Amino acid sequence: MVDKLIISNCIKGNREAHSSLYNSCIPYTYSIVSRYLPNKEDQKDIIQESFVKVFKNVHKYDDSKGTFNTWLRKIVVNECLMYIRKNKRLPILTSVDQIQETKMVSNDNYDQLTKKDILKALSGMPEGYKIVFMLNVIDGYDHGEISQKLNIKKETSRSQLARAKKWMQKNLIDNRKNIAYGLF
Amino acid sequence: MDSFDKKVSDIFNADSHDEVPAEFSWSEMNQDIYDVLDREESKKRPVLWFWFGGIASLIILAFIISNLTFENLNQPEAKNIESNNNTLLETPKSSINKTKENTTLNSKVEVVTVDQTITKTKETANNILIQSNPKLESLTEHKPYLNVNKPSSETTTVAANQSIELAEGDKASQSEVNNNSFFSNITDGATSKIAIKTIDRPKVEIYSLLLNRPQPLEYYRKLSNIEWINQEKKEKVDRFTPETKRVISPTIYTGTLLGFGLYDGADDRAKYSTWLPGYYLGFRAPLLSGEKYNLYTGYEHRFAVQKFEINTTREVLRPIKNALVHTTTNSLTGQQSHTHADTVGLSTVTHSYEYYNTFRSNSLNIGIQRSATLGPIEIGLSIGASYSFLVLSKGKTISNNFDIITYSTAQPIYRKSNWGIEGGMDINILLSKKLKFNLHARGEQSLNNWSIEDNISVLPSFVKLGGGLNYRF
Repeated sequence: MVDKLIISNCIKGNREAHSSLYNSCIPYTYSIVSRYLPNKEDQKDIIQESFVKVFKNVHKYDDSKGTFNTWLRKIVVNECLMYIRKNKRLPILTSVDQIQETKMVSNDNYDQLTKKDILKALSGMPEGYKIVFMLNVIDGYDHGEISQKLNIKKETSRSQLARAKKWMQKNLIDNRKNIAYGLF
Repeated sequence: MDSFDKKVSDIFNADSHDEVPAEFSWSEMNQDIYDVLDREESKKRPVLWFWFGGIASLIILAFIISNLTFENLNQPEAKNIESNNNTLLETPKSSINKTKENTTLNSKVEVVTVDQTITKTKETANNILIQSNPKLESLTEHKPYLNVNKPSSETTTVAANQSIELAEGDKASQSEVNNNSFFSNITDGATSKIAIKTIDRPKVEIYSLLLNRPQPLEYYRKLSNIEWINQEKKEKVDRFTPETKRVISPTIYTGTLLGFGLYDGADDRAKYSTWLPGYYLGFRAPLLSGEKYNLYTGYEHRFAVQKFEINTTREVLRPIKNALVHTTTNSLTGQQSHTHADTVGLSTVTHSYEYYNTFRSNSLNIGIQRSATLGPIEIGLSIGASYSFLVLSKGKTISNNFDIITYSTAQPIYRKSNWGIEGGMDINILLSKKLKFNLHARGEQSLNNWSIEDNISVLPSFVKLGGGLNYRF
């Protein structure tokens, strides 16, 4: 939770407030950036650009519309997508077939699911699925917002997500088998 | 949201996060962040100047053009008269006397003009010299020099208190010309009369009037206007009048836009970047036309596509069915037993992508064209400047399995406005009295970086090959 005093001091351009804001936000920011961009140099660029935007636009933050972290997440995710697009690393697979959105049908209990498991599964997921999955499931964007951000149809976003979930389900099961065999 | 989604969301949005690497600490990052902030602050000024400069240039240009059209075009006329005046003023007194001697009482030729001060001060006419001109005498014998068919609105009387100085005789050296008076009684009962005409323009324009066998003075006083008599001078005047200069002769054209110029600063893109043929359409019209040169302006809409290809190689986890995952060796017998299972393994995947960056832009052009006519063909060479605005850019990526992603105009690739210089050759072929067929080859070079990314330089050059129609209204 970011202190209002820090925000108001940031608006005034106080550098100590900038430091406080950065220190309180960097863990969350890093957790987002590292999901989208595995490369350290890329992460550094995005974190830098994100905080430049935050410091420049902090006066636009309206606490009645949501938490500071929600506002920050929008900036960081946008920066990630822009960066990926600018560097032409966004091989999103736009499917033409219609796949209905499906729920995870496994009977597995996900209570045991850890962040590490998911990140491991995400690391092998095709980029196109991965971005839609992260935007929807982790970052909370609906299909309308995703379609705008990636300039794709809502149906495409839904089908990508369905594929992603299927992939994730299979991968998690495989991982458990691997664990059982002592591979991980 | 199903339970899986909720679980994942909760895990990633929990307050506890992974440890942040030391290289992302504030002490490591703050200098870079402030550098960017400072740079962006300093960038604002040039951007503002860029827009301000563009707008100011257009205003100044419009002002210059307006002045050229309404004032400077009169300059040759003024000079012409001025030089005439000089000639007249420098005419030796003896020649005047000689003329005077040769003229008869009933066919006296008088030329009215003014000295240089009148043309220079624009608003007040001071001294008007009247001199005899023997050359005009012969004309008076054959032509009715006095016409009264000009609209009265175009006639303005000489300003009050203008004086007329008679060079011819001593008897009436000066005569007051009132606002409503065109004539001044000059000589001692002679039938010659003087008429003066001025036009209510920034400059007072002086013309000469030759009268022959005039009607009684009262007759002329009733007239609202007097036609020029000096036909030769009239022709010179007409050549430079604004009405004849402002020719409305637009050319509507279209053609193929060929782009050149690679990305500079991004190695993988620079190797493969090409421009696909685009198109342009627009119109061009002269603002100001001279005998050889004209100042033109125009509008153009362009569309082009920049294409480049990238191949990337990356390692991904791939499921492997029935893989050998374990081997056991019996130490006694030496026999090996193998365990197979489904697993995952690293594999290398190469993706190749084609990127298409498209843009649409609108541009205002202005320049100078030099024309020459060869029979029915008019050839023009032009050079000028262009200001592209409202540049809309979009992107599209096609991967090696033909999946496509497009980037909207909300994520621009190129800058919204750009400057360029242009030049080229136009060939106009006369089809009818007013219609010409236009063929042209033009080139344009961008003057500023199109890319919104500072580390990439995009300075495209364009060649335009096309045709159009020119119509003279």
